Amino acid sequence: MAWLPKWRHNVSYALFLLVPVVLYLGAYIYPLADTIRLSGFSWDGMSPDETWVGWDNYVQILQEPRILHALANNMKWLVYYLVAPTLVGLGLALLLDADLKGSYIFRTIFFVPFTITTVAVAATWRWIYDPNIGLLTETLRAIGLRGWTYNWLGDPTINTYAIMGASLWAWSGFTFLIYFAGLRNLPTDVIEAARIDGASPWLILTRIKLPLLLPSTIVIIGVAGVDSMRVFDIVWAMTQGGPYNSSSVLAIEMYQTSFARFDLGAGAAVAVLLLAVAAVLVMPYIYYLSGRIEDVRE
Amino acid sequence: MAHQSSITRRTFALLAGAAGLASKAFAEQVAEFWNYLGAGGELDAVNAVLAVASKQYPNTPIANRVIPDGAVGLRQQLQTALMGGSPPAVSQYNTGYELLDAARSGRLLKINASWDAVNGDKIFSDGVRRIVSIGGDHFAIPLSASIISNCFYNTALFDRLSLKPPANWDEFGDVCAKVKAAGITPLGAHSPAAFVLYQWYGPMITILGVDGFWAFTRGEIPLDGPDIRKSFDLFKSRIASNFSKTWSGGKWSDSVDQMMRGEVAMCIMGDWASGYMETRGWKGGADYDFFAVPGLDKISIFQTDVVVAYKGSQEQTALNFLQVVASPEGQAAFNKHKGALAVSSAAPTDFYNTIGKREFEKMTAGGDYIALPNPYLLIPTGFHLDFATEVERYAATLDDQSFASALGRLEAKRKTLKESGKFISW
Repeated sequence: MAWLPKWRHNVSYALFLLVPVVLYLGAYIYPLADTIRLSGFSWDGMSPDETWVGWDNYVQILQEPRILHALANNMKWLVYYLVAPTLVGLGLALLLDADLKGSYIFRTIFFVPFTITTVAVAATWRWIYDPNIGLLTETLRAIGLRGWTYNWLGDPTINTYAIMGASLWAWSGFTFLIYFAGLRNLPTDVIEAARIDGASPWLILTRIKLPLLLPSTIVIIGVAGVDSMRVFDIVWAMTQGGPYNSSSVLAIEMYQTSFARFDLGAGAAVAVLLLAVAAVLVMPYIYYLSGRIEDVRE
Repeated sequence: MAHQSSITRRTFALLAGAAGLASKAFAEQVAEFWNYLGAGGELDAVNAVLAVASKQYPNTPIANRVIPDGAVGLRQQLQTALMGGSPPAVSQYNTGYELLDAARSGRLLKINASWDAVNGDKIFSDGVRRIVSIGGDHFAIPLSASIISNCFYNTALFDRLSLKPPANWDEFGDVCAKVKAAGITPLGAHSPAAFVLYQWYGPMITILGVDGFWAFTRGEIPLDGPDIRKSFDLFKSRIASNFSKTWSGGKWSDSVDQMMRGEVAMCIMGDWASGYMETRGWKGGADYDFFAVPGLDKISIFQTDVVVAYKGSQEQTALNFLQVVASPEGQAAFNKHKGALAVSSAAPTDFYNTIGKREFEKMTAGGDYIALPNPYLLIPTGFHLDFATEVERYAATLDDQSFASALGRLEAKRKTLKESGKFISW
């Protein structure tokens, strides 16, 4: 093949790259650019005409209490995603890393909830959380904890956390899998050497295993950070952001503004706000942690 | 390398062929009726009216397409389809402000000829005509009407407590007090906000009257004024304070289930609750019954789903389907399964159960009896959500001070919308 002109190689590469590049431009770059453009217009989504309004959409949404409340909820989701599924997944992975008899059964049990679709998870947990006949309420009553029963999804002070509980049940399977794979790939000679030198299990965990699991942690936290910004389906399926917008998040406000309030320009502005929050809060953290991988490798 | 070139040429030939086939397939799509009527009896209702359509117009077939996620999900899909230049032939739509918005966009077919052909001015009531016609032009055919101003009750529970359906607010209060004394929740309630708002209509019309109702939809009533305040005082004392402690966040079917289990005595709800109870083996007039919410004894507040047609390549199919929807056969076929009321006065009435018969007779009685459209859909889009959300919050918290502040904020929005001509004179 060396006898072929170089341009024939380049044409082949270009032809094979054409489809993914076109898909990337069409499915990612173009919608992103058009959303930013649309955020400067007033448009109901039906009429052929759009009206230029400049920054008005941004001024409007930043003055709306429901948008600011949704942003605050997204921050709660960010903290939740960074901490809860990470710790639970790590804990489960460490438990099953001991290779006890039958542990493969628990591996399946812990992972299966992650494979269930979000709507099915939401429907199941709506039933569990029913304040009158739900499983959680009935169980608490049966064990004499009637005072601990709440309107799990209807009480605005706790409903977001209740939804997080449902999400934790489903999402921990993913973090467990990542950490478990990470633990299985740790160099055993290093750990053995530490044991021989008399290091305690706690020391081995904190000084050897956890630092070596940093690449897995970065994967999980990266995905978690992104997911906290775009959380929509489980909230929508469980409460639709209610009651009275108490559990709403920015993705729901974007959806409602666009398709229930018929204001796609303002909806696009919410989307851009979401992008900006993600860019400011999530991406720098990811880059920082990615840089730490090199330190760990060294 | 020659082999590699032939692979490349072959691959692209295959891709081009697939693209061509896809285009051909796309161009030959069957006309569709987009709707969100996918639950139980609703799906049967749509299939029934489509069956009538295929019988009357076999050359213009039309298929059902259920869009999940209610009106919002349907709107999203419609907008996407319109942006892509491939709208459906027909779709379900909300009346009032949403229909006005769609009509102004220029995307909908004016159906004046079809309207005249079915004698729309005669078979549809004044309240219906006001909300499907804009500026003398007609854009939609109503499919069904659900009465949302009735209070359903558990008859066995009423008998056990020796209660009679109340005729006024004082009697309503007495009934609620007796039910509470028996350790039962008087009224069921549920999210989302619109369903809570429906329960305010009785107090609203009691204080404002029918003229005030229309003034409210035109944006002429100050929201922080004494009349609105009085209506919400009545709402709080007679309705919201009788809800269960755990009502918020629940679905409408949760409320009905509670009523069927005897945990709740009454539910102010649309007559889809009647259809729901019938599918679960209860009989209207025996296991459950209804009375008009006080203040609405001669008024039926209804909500109607309509069908609209889109400009495009399937206009004739769309117009044929609209004729079927308006026909007595179409109205009967749909509403028999849905458990709702036919909107056309020419539709037969033999398929109604006890509940439906009484509702239909009241709605079409004429004279002092009035049918009013759901005001939620007559006020500017977005504002209707804000208003209903604050009413839902008030019903949950019963906090007068916070609600007064909310009404103040809403009043400022009302004024702005009124000044910019957003309210409509229906």
